[in-house]
Amino acid sequence: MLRLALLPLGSWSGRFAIFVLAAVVLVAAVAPALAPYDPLANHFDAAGQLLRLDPPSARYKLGTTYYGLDVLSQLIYGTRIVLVVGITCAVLIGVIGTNVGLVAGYYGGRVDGLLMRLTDLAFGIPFLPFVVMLVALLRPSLWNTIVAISMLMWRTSARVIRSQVLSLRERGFVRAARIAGASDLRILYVHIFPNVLPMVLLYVAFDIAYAVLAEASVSFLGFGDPNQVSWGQMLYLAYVSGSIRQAWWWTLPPGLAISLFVIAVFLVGRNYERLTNPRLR
Amino acid sequence: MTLAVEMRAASKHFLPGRHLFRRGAVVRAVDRVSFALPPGRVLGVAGESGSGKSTLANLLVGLETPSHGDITIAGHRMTRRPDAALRRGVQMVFQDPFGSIDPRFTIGRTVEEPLLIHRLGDAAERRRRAEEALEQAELRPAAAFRDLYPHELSGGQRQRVAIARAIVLRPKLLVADEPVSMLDVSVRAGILRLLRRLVDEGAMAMVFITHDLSIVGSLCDELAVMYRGRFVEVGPALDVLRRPLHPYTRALVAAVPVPDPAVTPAELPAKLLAGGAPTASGCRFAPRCSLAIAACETTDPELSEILPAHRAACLRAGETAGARP
Amino acid sequence: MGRFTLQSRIDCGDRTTSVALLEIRELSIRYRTAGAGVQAIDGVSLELEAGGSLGLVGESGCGKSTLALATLRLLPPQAELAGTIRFAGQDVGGMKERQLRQIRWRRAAYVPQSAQNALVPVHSLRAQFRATAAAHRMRATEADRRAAALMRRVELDPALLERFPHELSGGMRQRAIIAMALLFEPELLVADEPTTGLDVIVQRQTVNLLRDLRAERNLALLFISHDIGVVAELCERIAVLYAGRVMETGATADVLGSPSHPYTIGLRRSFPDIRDPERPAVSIAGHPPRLAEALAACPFAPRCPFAQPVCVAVQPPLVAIAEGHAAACHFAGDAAAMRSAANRPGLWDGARAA
Repeated sequence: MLRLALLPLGSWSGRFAIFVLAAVVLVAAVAPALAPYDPLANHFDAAGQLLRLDPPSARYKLGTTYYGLDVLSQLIYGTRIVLVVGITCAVLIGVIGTNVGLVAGYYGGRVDGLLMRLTDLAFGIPFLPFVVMLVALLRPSLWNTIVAISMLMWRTSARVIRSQVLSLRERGFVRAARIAGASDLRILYVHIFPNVLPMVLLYVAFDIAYAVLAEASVSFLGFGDPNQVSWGQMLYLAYVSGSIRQAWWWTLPPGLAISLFVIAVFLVGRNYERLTNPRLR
Repeated sequence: MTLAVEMRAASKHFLPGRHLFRRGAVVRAVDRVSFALPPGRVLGVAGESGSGKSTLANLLVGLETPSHGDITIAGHRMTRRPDAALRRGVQMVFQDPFGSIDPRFTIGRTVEEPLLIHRLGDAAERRRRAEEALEQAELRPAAAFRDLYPHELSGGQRQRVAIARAIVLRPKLLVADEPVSMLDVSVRAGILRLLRRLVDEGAMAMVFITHDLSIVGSLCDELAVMYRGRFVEVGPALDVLRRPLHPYTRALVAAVPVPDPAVTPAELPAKLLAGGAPTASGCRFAPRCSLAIAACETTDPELSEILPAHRAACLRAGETAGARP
Repeated sequence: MGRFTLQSRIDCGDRTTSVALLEIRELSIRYRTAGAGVQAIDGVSLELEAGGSLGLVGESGCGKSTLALATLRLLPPQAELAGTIRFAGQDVGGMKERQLRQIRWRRAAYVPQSAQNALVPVHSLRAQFRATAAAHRMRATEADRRAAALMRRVELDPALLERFPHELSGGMRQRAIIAMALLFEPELLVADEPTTGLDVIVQRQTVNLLRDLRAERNLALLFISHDIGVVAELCERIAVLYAGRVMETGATADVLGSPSHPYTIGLRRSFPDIRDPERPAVSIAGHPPRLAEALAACPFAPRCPFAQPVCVAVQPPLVAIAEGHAAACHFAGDAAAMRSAANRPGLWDGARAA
């Protein structure tokens, strides 16, 4: 297991990715100590005026927003949202997708038909409109965004896991367990699941990236949680306040941060893919 | 003594896949097969791919339920949901030594798994029995193999692990489905000898499924030749090999390569190779049989005793015994 | 085509005047890997006359397939070659890709191990015949004409040309591949376990087909198999490989009739004989080594029941023991004694289980 966790360190891209992810986790952990200000506190100049769009300076290292908030502090607190969204979505998607795939692939027949039509349905629904609609209906909150994202994104891993299970089901060791009298649950979770686990982890890695992007998109469209500071929301506010052209210090850091994080997650995923797909080895 | 296994007119029919415009005929993968085997005996089942021998194996181990007839393992009748005792009574060894062992389990865990499934013994007891099974499968010393992973073993050694896993529950019947066909010739004999020894020592019978007739003689007591779901010839293994009664058996024996360049290989009749679908009421081998007469098109022969204990399902078996294929 | 000038008699006694179609001299092949590397072939010399047949036998991992692929230079890039391979007098090792293409398929065709994967699943057989023809600048009409004739020759209905590979049985696919290999009337057929995995009657049909094709087309055959029985039927000469070396070579009748290397004796004993169904076969305990580099000893010594101290100290050279029959064993002279001792029960069990 340790060998599996350290695998991405075997390449330059992997080491870079791990470094980025470790940095994000560290920053998120010590955000209150690291951030110079409360990310939702307004700042005023000497005259008591709201400090709108103040360029980077010694006091505000990444400047302020149109609403007089410190960009650096927002950026630092944004790491927490990224991790919460990424990890929660990945766990939800992983649990739903894996189980749908396992059950559909193992039982086949009507169960498979039903679950796969459900998957087709999930594939047929346009992603962003669905999430935005659901979040708008339910009231924008981080948790609702996470639920909405997870409700659709299990579809890919469900299909991939199912196809894996279809071939594993016919393998000798699974048949041997059935002949020995193992229960379906035991076969599914003791014999089949460990063999699809690398594939599950790979898809979980990619799901983290997609979920973070999806959250940013939802926030950018204005359906984010107003009480949380996410990188997508920073971009949204910069856009709606009409300052996206002049205040580069407001848009560039969250944009770069999202890209860097997503790339890092993808790189880790690619490195795992080498392990699970022998053709890339 | 109770029979290890008894099959009474067991059949397995598969409905064909639904096509848009046409419906195929029902596939009779196994068709009215009967046999009985006491402990300590080995029945060889020979046939080509498509003969139904794999379906027969699946019926015996309970992976398939017979459409008609019934199967009894050590006195217990096989049902759709066999109980634990019945499950313990029959185990299987598979063809592919690479796919039949979970790559993520150690050898020890692999062999203990059936015990875990049946919640037999505590950890120490399970370990003792697993080591005993490994020793019986000639993986000695068992302690040295217990902690290895399958990828650290050769094909022959993996097959011994699969055998250890199959015997750890002390089954009454072992079904071996082509257990040596994917192994190097140089290690096959050792596996076959091991299987024979396990049958002789334990109170166990074995059904040995193979397409290779040349390994049957030194291993099996009886031999059944299967063609399109039916046993077409059954008898003492050496008798069947030395004096095949059914034309299909003769073709199978004649087709086996002989490692002697002085021997001129047999030519097979064109009719045998061309094949063709059998008539609904006639002998299923007739379209490929160069001895077929008009009656063969209309009569589906049952197994009948031609020589002592040696039965064949052929109208002309009595008159043609010893003829060329 | 030039093949007729190269044609020579199969004449074991007088080898000096004939030009070998395929000549391998002191060939060594090493795979570079992340670890220590693998010495797959170690100093192998073989030759195959025009119209002749040579069977390569041995256990899996002994280097049979590597050797076969090397003859057409089809090895992966991490393989390092030393020694020479000559096809019709030309050095295959020094050829450019363009020259190689003139030989591959045109003059030396390859029939691969798994018939299932050798055909493209999404194209009909006709499309695959045409594609092969087009790669060598043969017109489609000509390809169609030859394809129909070849299909008939391998006892397949030319109507099957419109079918896709999955619509054919394993035996039919194998015959279709043989037909495709014959498209340019090659002089040499390299066949890697073409009958493995086929049912016994279909195998018999394929073996007989190859035998007849050889006779009528003066086709040379390099045949790789673990099945001594099939090799005995198809090949005039045989080379027994072990750990990338030739252990014994000679006329098939001599090598199988009076095997003179303990490995050949063991292989011969491990192969069951339907004519003597009661006789149990034996196993050779242990398995072939995976050598990181060439060994300065007999590679078979650890499994050999006749091994002496000299066997692990000195590498036995391949020496002639009779006309056209050579074995690489220090005790090849005592072969008759080893053969009669070989039936002793328990002799081949060794220390370890297989």
